[in-house]
Amino acid sequence: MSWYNNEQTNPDGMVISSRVRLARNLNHYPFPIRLDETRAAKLIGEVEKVLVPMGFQKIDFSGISDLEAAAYVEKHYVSPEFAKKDGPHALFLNEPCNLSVMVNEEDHLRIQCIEPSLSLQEAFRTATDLEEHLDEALDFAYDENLGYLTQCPTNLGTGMRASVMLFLPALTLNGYMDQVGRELSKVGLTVRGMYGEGSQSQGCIYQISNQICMGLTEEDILKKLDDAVAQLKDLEKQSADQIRPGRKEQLKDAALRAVGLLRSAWLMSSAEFFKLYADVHFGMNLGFIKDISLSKLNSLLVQAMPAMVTLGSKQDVRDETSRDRERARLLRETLAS
Amino acid sequence: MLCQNCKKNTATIFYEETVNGKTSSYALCHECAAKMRAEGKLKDTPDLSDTIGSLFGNPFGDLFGNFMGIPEASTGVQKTVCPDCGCDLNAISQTGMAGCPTCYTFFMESLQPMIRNIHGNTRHTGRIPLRFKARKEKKDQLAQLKKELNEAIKHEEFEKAAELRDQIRSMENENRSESA
Ligand SMILES: [Zn+2]
Ligand SMILES: [Zn+2]
Repeated sequence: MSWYNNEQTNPDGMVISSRVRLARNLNHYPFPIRLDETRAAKLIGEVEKVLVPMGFQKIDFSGISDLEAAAYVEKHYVSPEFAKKDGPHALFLNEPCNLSVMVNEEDHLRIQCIEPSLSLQEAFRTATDLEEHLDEALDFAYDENLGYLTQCPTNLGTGMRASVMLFLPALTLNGYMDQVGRELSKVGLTVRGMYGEGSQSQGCIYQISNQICMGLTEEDILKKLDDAVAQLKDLEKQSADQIRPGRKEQLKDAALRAVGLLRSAWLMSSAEFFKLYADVHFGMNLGFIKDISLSKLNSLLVQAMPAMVTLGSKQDVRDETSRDRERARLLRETLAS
Repeated sequence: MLCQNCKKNTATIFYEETVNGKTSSYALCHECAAKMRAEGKLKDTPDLSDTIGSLFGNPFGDLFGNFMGIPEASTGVQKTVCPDCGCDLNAISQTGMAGCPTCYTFFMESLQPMIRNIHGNTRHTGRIPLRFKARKEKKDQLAQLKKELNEAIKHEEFEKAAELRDQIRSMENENRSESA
C-alpha cells in the first residue's frame, strides 16, 4: 500500500504527505560529480548487497525507459534530476513502497521515507532505522565538526531534508503565499512546488522543507517543521473563515461544477485536472461536498499524472489527445458516485 | 463573462467597492484577483498580512543574504589539489560542490566561511555514525573515570584511586593502539 493509494489513513484536509530524506556518502569514493562509471556501478553493488537481502527491489535507472523513470518522479520516489541523469544510477524500493534509496543522485545515497498525511516523526523513525542498517555495512563519510559529508555544502550536518506537501487554497486565492514564503524563509524553511526545487506550484499544493541542516538536531528540525505546519493550518483556516458569503457561494459553485466535470468530461488535460482538483478539495474543506473520498481524490495527484496515465492505459496513448481521454476515463471511474 | 483584467479567463469573482462615494465594480478570474490582493489593489478580504508576519519567530535574522560566498583561491600560488580526488578550490567554487569527502578536511579553512554563510554555524549537533558513537562513548567514559579519580584522591580513598588509575591507563593504551 503506497502513500498515495491508501484508504486506511485518515486524510487531512491540508497535509497530503510527509517525507524525510537523509543524504549519505561513502568514504573512498569521489562524490557523484567526479565519479566514473566503473566506480559508480561498484557503489551500487555495495548498496545492493545490504538492501536486496532486506527485501528491497533494485530498479536500474540506466536500463528503464524515460516513461518509467518519469512515473517514479510522479510517485515522488525519485527526484526529477535523478530521472534525467546519465551513467549508472539505481533506485531501491521496499515492498510497501514507503522506503526508497536513490544511489548516485547528488549524493551517493539518498534514503527516503514518505508517508501519507502529517507523519514526520514516523517517517523519520522509519528512515533512520534503514539508515542504521546501512551504517553497519557501509563506511559513511562523516566529520566530527561538519557532520555527514555531502557533495553540496547545503546538506552538510544532519544531511536531512524533511518536507510536507500541503494544500493551501485559501492562502493561495487570497494572495498570501509570497508573504508566507518570505516569513518561512526567515525561520530557515523553504516553500516549493509539488516536485521540489524549481517546480511550480499547481493545484494550490506546496512543499515546505527545512533549508538548514547543520547546527540543529534532527528532532529540532522536525519540531520546527511541525510547528510551522500547525501555524499554516491555522492561517489557512483563518483565511478561509474570512471569505465573504458572496465569494463563498462562488466557491461552492466552482466546486460543484468541478465535480461535474471530473465525473463526466471526455478529455482532460493535467493542467485542467489540477485546477479542478483544487476547486473540489477546497469545496470539501468548506463543507460543500460530502460524497467524494478525499483519499481517492488525493490518489489522483499521482495516478492522473502524464506518465502514470500512459503506463496505466491498455491502449497506445502517446499523443496528447488520447492521453487526455485516458485521464478523463480514470477520473470518471475513480470518482464515480 | 471574461475577467476584465486579463481578458482571457472566465471571471469568477465579482466585487463592488465604494471609494469617496464612487462605486466601481470588478469582474475578475481567481488568478488576477489573487495577484491584485497581493498587490493591495483589491480589498475584498480583511488583511491577514500582520498576522502572518507575527506568527513565525525569527531566530536566524537575515542569514540567507549572501549565499555561495566561496572565496576565490586568493593568495596567488594556491595550486593545491585534494589528494584523494584531484579537485581544487576553483572547481569547488565554480560548481558549488565538493569533489569527495576528503575535500572538506583538506580545504577546511577556505570552505569554513561559506559553510557558515549557509548554515549559520559550522558545528554539527545531530546523529552520528555507529563507529563514531563508540569512540564518543569511550571519550565520555574516560572523562567520567578521571572525574571519579579526582574525587577519590580528594577523599583519600587511595585503594579506589589506584584501581581507577589502572582502568584509565589501560583505556588510554587501547585508544593509542587503535589510532596507530
Ligand atoms: Zn484574469
Ligand atoms: Zn577531494
